[in-house]
Amino acid sequence: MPTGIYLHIPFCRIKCPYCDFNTYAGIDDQRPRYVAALKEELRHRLGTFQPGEFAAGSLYFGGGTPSLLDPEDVAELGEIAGSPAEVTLEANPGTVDLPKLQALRAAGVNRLTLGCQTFHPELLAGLRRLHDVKQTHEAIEAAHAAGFTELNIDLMYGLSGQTLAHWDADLDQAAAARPTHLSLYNLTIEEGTPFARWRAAGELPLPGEELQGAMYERAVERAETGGWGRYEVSNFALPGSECRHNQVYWSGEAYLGCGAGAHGFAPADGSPSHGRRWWNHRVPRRYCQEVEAGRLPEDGHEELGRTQAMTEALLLGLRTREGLDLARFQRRFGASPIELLGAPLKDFRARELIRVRGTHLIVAEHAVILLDSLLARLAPQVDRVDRSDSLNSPSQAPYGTPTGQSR
Amino acid sequence: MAIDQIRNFAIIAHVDHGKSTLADRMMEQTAAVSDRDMKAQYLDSMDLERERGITIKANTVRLNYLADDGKTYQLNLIDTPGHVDFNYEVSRSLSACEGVLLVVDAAQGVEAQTLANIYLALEADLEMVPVLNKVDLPGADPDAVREQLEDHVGLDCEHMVLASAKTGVGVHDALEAVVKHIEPPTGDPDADLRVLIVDSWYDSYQGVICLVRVVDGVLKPRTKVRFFSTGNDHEVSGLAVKVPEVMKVDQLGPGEVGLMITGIKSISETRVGDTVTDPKRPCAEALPGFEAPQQMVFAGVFPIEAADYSDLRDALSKLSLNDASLSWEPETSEALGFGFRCGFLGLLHMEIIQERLEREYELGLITTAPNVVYRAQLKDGTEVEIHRPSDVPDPMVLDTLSEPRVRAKVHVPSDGVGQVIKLCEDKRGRQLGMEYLAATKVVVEYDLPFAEIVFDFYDKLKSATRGYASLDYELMGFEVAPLVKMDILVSGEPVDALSVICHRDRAHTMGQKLTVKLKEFIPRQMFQVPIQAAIGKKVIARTNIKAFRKNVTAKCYGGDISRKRKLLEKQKKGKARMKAVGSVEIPQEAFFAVLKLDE
Repeated sequence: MPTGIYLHIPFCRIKCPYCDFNTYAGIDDQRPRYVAALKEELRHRLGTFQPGEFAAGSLYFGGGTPSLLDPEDVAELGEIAGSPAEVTLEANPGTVDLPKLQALRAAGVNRLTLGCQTFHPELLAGLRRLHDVKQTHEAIEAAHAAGFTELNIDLMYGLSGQTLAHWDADLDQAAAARPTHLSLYNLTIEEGTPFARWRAAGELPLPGEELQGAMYERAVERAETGGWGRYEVSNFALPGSECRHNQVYWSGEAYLGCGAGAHGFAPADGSPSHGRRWWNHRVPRRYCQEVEAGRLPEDGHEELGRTQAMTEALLLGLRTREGLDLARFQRRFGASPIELLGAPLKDFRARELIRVRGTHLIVAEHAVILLDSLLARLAPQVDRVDRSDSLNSPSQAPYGTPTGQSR
Repeated sequence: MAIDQIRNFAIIAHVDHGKSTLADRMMEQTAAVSDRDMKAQYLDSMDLERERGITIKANTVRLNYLADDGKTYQLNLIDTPGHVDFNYEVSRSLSACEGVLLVVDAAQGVEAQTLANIYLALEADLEMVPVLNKVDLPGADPDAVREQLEDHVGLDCEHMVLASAKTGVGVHDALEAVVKHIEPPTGDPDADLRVLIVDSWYDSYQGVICLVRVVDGVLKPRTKVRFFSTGNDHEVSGLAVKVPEVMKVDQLGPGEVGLMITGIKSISETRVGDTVTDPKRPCAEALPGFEAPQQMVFAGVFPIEAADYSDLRDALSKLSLNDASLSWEPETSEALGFGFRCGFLGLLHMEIIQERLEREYELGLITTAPNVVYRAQLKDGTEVEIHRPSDVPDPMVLDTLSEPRVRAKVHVPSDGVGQVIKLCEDKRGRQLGMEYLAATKVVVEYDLPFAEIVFDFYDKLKSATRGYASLDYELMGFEVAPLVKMDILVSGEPVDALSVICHRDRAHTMGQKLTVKLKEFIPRQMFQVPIQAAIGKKVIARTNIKAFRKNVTAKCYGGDISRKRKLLEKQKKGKARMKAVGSVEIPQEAFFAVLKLDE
């Protein structure tokens, strides 16, 4: 069973104006304290399992800027985690050089993900990224030289001022870097970010829906031709190089989240809960205080009801190329997704937007671009089981019975 | 109580001119209500009435008033609804009165409802005392309003009262005016019993309760009475008046207004306007009753969830116990499933019923656009009533369609005549006449298709004449007209609940407007959605709702999952008032698009 551990590293040199992650600039002085708390939390959480109950298949250093960590700390955290088979670390160009990457490689990191975003200086400037294109190329070169056989490149599209030609060139550059994995993200304007404010003030013109759609289609087409298969909405990989860690999320399996604001999830069999999700205190200082006081740094949690768990299974499953595992869904919830999703699914299948392929329900390639619309119609179907009347007796007979007075 | 110390009166006013506030102050000053119990607008008892600030059902309260002449008077204040939809309820209430206080806002002056109410009171031959309210407001201009009333309306303002119901100024004068200028009722306690049923409603504890006005004789509890229209006898289980708490009384004499509690289980036994008499000494003739309220418009009411069908039926049964003007029968729509075709007095009545169903019975509903009743003449010589567009028979059997027409009288100051004529001509009207009642006051008479005036005519009339025109109409009958059923196809599928009946010459324009309007209401889908208007097989207008080009969340990792799920759950709630028709979700507003073509 795949399981994963996520470690959140909330430190950044600057806060990018589009980013709504739990990250902070200017608190570098808290780093030693934070790393100590992180080790402590990870130890504690793993200690709550019986031997053999939880064995992580992946470890993911996310952020923030995990490349700001000392390689020794990375090594120690990896050991505490039980030295999983896949250890990923996110790095920003400009924060890593060859010695640093060699050290990280030696510390057990075997998968590097580089936040390149774009190879156009003017677009990088628009994103207010700290690095320049030269540093991006250096980081890529160093990653290869350091022996990272699993390399991911993050690119963004839908940027202010970006044309399809820009995007094509970015995809070319990314391909030339010979990564094993590509994450191609549409810029999303998140509430509360400077980008959202600039957008509201009319100061951030973005490509229209038509162009953004074309960019996504171009991304898929180019990646696929280059051999990077799309295995999730925004993720592409050479065969066998899919990120195991992210697949843990999408398949609804267990993951531990440690660090400020990190989320964790423990699936359950439905009696009574279908899973527990928790999240830690977001503010690093508070997080550290809780851990240091010997408490779990949890800020909140939710127990998933049946409907919620089914909704999540649906929304995550359909994001992947593999699709929603029909038999597994039936086992978990005692309901057939095909029946449950009823008329809307039937309609989507007739329109060839969704298909049943073998044992899975999958979204057709050309319809992935509309997944949120599909989900908006499918998701309301899953709570029909809680109102069995409307599921089982759609046809009532109002005629033939006296219906009260009618004047 | 000596009959010459009784006064039965109503307060009539345009909406918001302060009718209910004045009633509240009168209750306070006669100590009917202590401050502690004083809710704003005491007479409006339903929550909905209080919230909307309008009265829907008539209500009544007895005030004991020690007048300046040293005598104590029994003042029966009968409340009246304030909207044109409920005019028939106003006339009913007025039939229990000898006079009215006409409340006019001293700043806004005479408005349409003021006039409509004045004419109702004149028709009922009632004494009218004008009360200029809100005289303390900065914009108040009592002299100008007095001039309007005297010159435009021809009302005698000799006894006019200046008041501010809010501060209590002039309330005493209003009470004195009721005593001095409104006639006491007449009636003979020894004559055969004659009691008029002004209103009736069902109370789940006590059975049917009637608001009655005793004309002759004396009504007593625990006696048998006979209902003239049915000939059935029932026992009066109790008599009461509202002060405003319900207080039992041991008799109601001539001229008195009160509540008759019957224990009857169905309000169909106690028809409003019926006469109640003594079976041992029945009166020879019934009192002139009221015309039965007529359902003017029909609309389909459907539960969003099919499972709520029986709850909706129960709710309609309960509502119609108290509202004889609501009618309903089962209906099936291909698009919306099982529901009911309901008949209403007008649009406001429809909105109120819809709101009560949703609020008091917690039902999620889709209501279709309302239409008037048509008639279809078939080739075999028979005739059928058309309550909804899908009733229109197949062209193979249909001979002609006819529509109801009304004789409409519009009272308007002379400078607004042009606007009124233009509006009536736009609405396919035929002028019947025009008469100057005074130098500045005109009555314009038009023969109009009822369908053209039932929806927004009144609002348009008001805005075209700055509120001065008032409208009165009566149904004349049906007339053959070149009417067609226009269907609306969404994504190629006809949606029966969106069909409309319209005049052939206007179908093209209307089809275009309607398809464009629907485009505003139907959200974008994953695929292009064509919206077509068609008559029979012929498409006469078409527009497209553009498809989403791209709609997919870029990232969904560990910390995003809850958020994404909650977003879907929230969207689901937003769909509460949407109905999936085929593969397209149509929101409630779309079904009303036909009413909003001019916006």
